[in-house]
Amino acid sequence: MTQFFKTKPKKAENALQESVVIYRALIETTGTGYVIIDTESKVIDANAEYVRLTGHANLNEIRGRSVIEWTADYEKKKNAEAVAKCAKDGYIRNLEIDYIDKRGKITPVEINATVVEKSGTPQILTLCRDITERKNLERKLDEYTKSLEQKVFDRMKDLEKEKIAARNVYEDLQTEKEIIAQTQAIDEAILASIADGCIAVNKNGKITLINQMAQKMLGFSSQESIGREWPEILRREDEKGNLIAPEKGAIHAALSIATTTITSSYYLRKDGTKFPVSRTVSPILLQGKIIGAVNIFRDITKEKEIEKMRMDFLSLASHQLRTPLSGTKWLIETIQKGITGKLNPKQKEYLDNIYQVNERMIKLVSDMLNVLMLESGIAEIKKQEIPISKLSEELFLIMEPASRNKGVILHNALKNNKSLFLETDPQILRSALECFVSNAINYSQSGQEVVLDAEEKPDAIIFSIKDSGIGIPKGEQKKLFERFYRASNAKILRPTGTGLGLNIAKMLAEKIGAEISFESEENKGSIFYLRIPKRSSKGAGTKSNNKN
Amino acid sequence: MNNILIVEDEEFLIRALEDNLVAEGYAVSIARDGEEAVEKIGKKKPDIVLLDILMPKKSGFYVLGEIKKNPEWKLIPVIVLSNLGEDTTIKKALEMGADDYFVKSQHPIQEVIEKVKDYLEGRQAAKPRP
Repeated sequence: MTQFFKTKPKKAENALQESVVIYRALIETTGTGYVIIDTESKVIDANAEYVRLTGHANLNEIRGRSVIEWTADYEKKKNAEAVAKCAKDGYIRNLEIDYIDKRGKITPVEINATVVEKSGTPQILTLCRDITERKNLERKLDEYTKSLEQKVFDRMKDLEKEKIAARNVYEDLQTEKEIIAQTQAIDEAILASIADGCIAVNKNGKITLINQMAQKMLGFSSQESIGREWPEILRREDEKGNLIAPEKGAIHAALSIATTTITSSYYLRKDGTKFPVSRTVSPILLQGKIIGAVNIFRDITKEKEIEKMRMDFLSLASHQLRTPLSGTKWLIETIQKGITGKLNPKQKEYLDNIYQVNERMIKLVSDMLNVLMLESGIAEIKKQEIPISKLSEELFLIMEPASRNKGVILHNALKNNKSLFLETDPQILRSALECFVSNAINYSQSGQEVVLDAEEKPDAIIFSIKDSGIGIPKGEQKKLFERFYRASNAKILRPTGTGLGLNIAKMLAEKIGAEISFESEENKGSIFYLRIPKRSSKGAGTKSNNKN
Repeated sequence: MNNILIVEDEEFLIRALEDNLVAEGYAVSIARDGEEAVEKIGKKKPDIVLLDILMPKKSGFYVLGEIKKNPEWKLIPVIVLSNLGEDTTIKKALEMGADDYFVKSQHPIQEVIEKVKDYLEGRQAAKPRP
């Protein structure tokens, strides 16, 4: 840059010289690159810093060369335009350009340039500042900003996710709440609309729920009932009008031993009048623990009335059917005795035939009435615990005349079994066994044996009635319990049978929850089994008796 | 001669009973409804009563009640002969003081006659009543 200041007058020249030296020193020591180029971008002069910025060793290497040469390829056009613009406008400010040296090292620089006139020729005085540090900082800042932005973005995303999750949970809760509310509304509507009374109690026996029908039936309002002990609201009487103690009640049983009870009973209204109900009382169990009980009951006044009418009708019908038959029977017996005079053998034979027909009719009427009674459900079940030996002896007392007449040997294998007890309705069980024993006698020959026995299983007692009679043909075994069905060989041996005996036995058995099965072979005999389940000793068992 | 009162509204049953009892040598009187029965007992106390339940005017239960509540009549044995065969009816009759109960169609007439003889010949007595 020496020739740039050489043409000044002497005195002034000295002062100027000094100033030039100072400037020169200043320029050479400054950290800013300093270059003078012509309008063609060619280097005229430069300080050391500028030379360094271009990646060269000394000024001579770059003098006369275009600054575009060490401008990075991607900035060449920009730089050329900037030079042109500067030449035209007279200045350029804060232009950032990347320089590149021979080894490819990039140095970002910030350029501020001003056009000056030198002997009528415009030259561009250019200051170049290395902004690597600043760029680094800027990049770092940018990176930091970007990473911050990313973090913020990520966090926002997380937050969004969390928000969505929270919203989902909220929506789920809302849905659940709605479902619960809906279920509750449905439950309430059901409870309100069912024709059954419904009362729920908690584990302490306090009423927690009473539906409209229960309020209507009992005469107690919801306000009067909720929170009160159940025996205050559900007062129960037996048929004779005696109050039944709460401890004997089904709710008590449900709360104490988790028993489900299905029975009929009488409830007292608030005003003291009573009405018959059919009830189901169940424990409410939560994870195996009793937390309360529910009592569903129905007013069965109408059913009772119908039942009574049916009972009266059946009773009268049976009476009306039996009366002429019994008259015929007794008159024939009177003639047979000879009270009305002697009969010739033919008359006696015919009269005997008529008598048999009449006996058959009596049996048929009796069986059909039994069927009707059983079907109507009139026969009540009265359970009690009985020794099986006693039951079998009573049965044999009834069956003895029939077996004696037929010459069939009855063997009671249970006679001396004093250890076997059974809780059932003895009357119904005996009637069922009677049907089987009677059948066995009827289809055995004189001299053959009929054996009554029983076997105890953990959950049941199985009675067996074994005969060595005519048996049941294989193909006909399926129909055996059908009403009026008679096996072909049975019809031949005993034409007077009604075909109702086993049907009645089946209905009787069902009444006490017993199951019937059999094994049979034609001409060898049959074994009929009557399986009576023992009452479950576990709490959750169902029983049907007269408990409240 | 023992006197037997047959309380029955069915003619052929009356005939059968009457023929058999007369053949056994008993004197028989007949009432065809409950009112007539009480009237006849009032006129002449029988040694035994054979009593139907379902009858015109007054039922056998009414007659049974009248017999058992009257101190002079209460030891007359009463055998109910009815075709009502329900447990409840039989139980009711026995609780009211009937000494025996026969569902007519289920028993030969001879069984009834034998039962009558048991009472009249002292082998069986009417149940004591309070």
